[in-house]
Amino acid sequence: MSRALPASLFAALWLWATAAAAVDTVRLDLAQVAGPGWQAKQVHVGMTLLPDGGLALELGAAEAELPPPLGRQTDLRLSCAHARLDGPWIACPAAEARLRLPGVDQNPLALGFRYRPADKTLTLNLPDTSVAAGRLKLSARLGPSGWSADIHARHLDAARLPKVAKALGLDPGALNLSGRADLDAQLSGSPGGLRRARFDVKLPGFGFLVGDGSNAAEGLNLDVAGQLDRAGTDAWHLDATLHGAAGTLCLSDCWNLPPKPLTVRLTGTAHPGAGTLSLTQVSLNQPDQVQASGRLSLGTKDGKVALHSLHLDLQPSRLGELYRRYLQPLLIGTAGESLDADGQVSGTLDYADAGIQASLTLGRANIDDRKGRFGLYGVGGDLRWSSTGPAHPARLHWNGGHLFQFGLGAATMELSLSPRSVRLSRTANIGILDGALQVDHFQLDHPEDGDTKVEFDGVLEPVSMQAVSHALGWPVMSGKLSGVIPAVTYDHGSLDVGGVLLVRAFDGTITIRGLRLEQLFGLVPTLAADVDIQRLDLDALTRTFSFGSMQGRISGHINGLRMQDWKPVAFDARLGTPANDDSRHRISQKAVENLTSIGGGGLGGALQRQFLSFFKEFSYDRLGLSCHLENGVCRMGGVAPASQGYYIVKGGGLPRIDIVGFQKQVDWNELVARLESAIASSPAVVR
Amino acid sequence: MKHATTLSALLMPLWLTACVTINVYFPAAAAQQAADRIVQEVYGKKPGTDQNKTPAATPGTEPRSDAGHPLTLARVFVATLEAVVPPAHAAANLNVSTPAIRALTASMAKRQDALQPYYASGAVGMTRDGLITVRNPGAVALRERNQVKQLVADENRDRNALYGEIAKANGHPEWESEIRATFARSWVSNARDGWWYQDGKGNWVQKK
Repeated sequence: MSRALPASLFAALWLWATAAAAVDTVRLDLAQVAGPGWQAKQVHVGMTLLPDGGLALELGAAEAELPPPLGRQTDLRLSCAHARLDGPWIACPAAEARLRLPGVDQNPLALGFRYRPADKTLTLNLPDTSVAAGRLKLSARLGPSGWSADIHARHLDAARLPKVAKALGLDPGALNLSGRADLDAQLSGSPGGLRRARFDVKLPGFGFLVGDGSNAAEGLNLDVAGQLDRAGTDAWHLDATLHGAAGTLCLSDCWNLPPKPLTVRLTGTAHPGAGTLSLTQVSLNQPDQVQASGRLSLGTKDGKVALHSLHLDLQPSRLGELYRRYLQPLLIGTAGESLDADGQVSGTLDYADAGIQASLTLGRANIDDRKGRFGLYGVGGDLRWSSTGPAHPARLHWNGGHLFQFGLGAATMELSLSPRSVRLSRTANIGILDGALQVDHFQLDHPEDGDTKVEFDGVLEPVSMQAVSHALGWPVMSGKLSGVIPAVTYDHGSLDVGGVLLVRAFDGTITIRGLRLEQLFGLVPTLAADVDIQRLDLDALTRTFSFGSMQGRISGHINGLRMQDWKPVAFDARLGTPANDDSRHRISQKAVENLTSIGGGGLGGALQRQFLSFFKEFSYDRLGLSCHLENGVCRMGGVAPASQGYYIVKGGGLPRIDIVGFQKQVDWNELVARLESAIASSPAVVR
Repeated sequence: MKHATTLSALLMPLWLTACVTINVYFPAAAAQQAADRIVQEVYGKKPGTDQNKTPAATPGTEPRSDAGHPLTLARVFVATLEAVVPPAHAAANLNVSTPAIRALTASMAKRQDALQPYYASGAVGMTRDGLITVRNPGAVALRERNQVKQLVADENRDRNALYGEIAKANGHPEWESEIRATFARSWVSNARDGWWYQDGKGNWVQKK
């Protein structure tokens, strides 16, 4: 059993061999040799004296257990064709080693080394070695107090690097890499392991994939340079700068990196054993677009990465790029998923166990929904919010906007933001079309375990029906729309408007109750309401719709109205001459023709037609129509039953006319088509 | 509707004595037919082709036997209602032809081509509540992931709107959960082999 130090043994052999010149070859066989952290079995050392005074050396072991990253080796061999003494050094510039090294494709390896027996220092030089499908140059120095290595690698196959890392004692877990890597690194350490690493890694077309693939990247052009220093038994100090461009990065959510590089700087301390990372300085700079800096601390909880604390300062940045590149992927599935945005934004975000604090400043921002549902232009303001703290005052103003087809005017909102609610602190006036919505009270509550509630109290100041009908693509109507809205509730995408909206038009009133907007941000928003109609002036109404002149008043209701795409799909409507109506009741020939066509006939034969054409105008007692629309079918009725039908117009006075409808069920679309053709004042069909 | 209500009131004692627990009014058979028709339109199949082999475990329900089950009774009574009252006015008929339902169906049918490869690869699966979800993000190329997330969000928005709209269009908003369950079965039974769905317990199963 020998526990001799090989260096002194080697030196002794050299002296012996050179002194005893008669001996040409010496060979020594040892069963086992060991030192701190290593051992070798069936070791042989051989040397042959060369004529020029140099030595040919050979060192081998059948089995060896060496310090990482060399590890366990079999049939280990180191041969040097020509070793010489160079001052205190034993030098072998051209040696060959048979050993397995992590990632090295070449075996045996060409290398050079020098050994200084006095302080047991070895320097090693790999001139050009095939490693991980690329080329590697390495020079290393190993001494009793530590080691250092200088590495220059080009075109490494990144896919093979996790295995190399593992062999070097860095466990990468279930990590897959792709792409090529160029690496320049200076490493140094103690016999126990790494102490310091300076690195510059260039990764063109880089990709990674962890575990199930939720966290992955592809096509990134990365350049990571920095320094890693051991700062304790389980502490590493990190200072790194990352330039990244192109490709896609997914950390559950996915982001596309910009074509021009963005720069990320990280400074902090990692505790791999404890699974924590504390970055005292983090900054992100996307030139001319987005700048942010801050600090954060990460830990692990139940095997997953968890954020402990975060402070983020968003310096004035472009809202468009911030939204498009960074926020939009997080907003998929919300109303904010498809916006066009521009303007300037800055803010802060603080996250800790105690809660979240955020502030946001917007300047000259334009936000427009690409689906045309809403937009706000020239938005500015300061918002501050805390998840725990007191309510913060906030101010938001805009120059204009729209909600669906309805144009919004400039407005300023003075708000108060509490942890789970937003309250309007001062009456706001929002222009709508040519009128305005005066909001006296607004409060949105989002309880932790309940549905969002909205309280609303406001007044709709008169909007002209001309503007409303223009916005909705309806025939231009006169009159005014106004209302008192004591309550609005919002629940699961549906907006219920309490109170009564009042339309003053055609010298009468139309009141709208139970207004409800369903699927407000869905594919087909639905409007539901109950409408009450009082004493509209038929003359004004028929002139607006060029239906053919009628005189008198009309009242009624449209209950259970449901509209989709601004077209009715269901209602129960009844419109007719109000009781005790003392207005003049006249109906023109053209209106008669049109009414007849709507009711599906009632006049027939040449006699009636001649009679009809004889008078320009007729007198009536009552007129009216009812329609119960359901499932695309309108069940029709009139003012009174007639034999086989119903009276649409019941005559009175002279010349008297009765119009009787016979069709009790009419296809709604056909009815609309008939009405439209009547309004288009094409020659009426009198059957 | 009024007729149906009156009739059901007359039938009430019968229900009570039969210890029936299910909602009398929900027209299960008509709903299943309507759901199948919409689902087949979305999947791009002509109605009537591939008359569906219902999978052994339909999502959201336990396999049911026919004899003596309340649902069978419901079907019998629905049939009775249909015989007494012209179908157009009975609760047993389901209106699925509002503009919103047509628009939602068309929107989903248009999206189907884009979703299909992800159903086939198992990246996207059908949940037991009649929606879809990204069940295996690793099966989607990174540059397509946001697009898939968007497709799934859009599809679910349409589906949720559809279930609610059918219930409302028929004057019974409270039917939504039954319509959803009906559709959940239909999406799976009309799906292609190899697509993934959640069984009643929430486990992922590949349709065979």
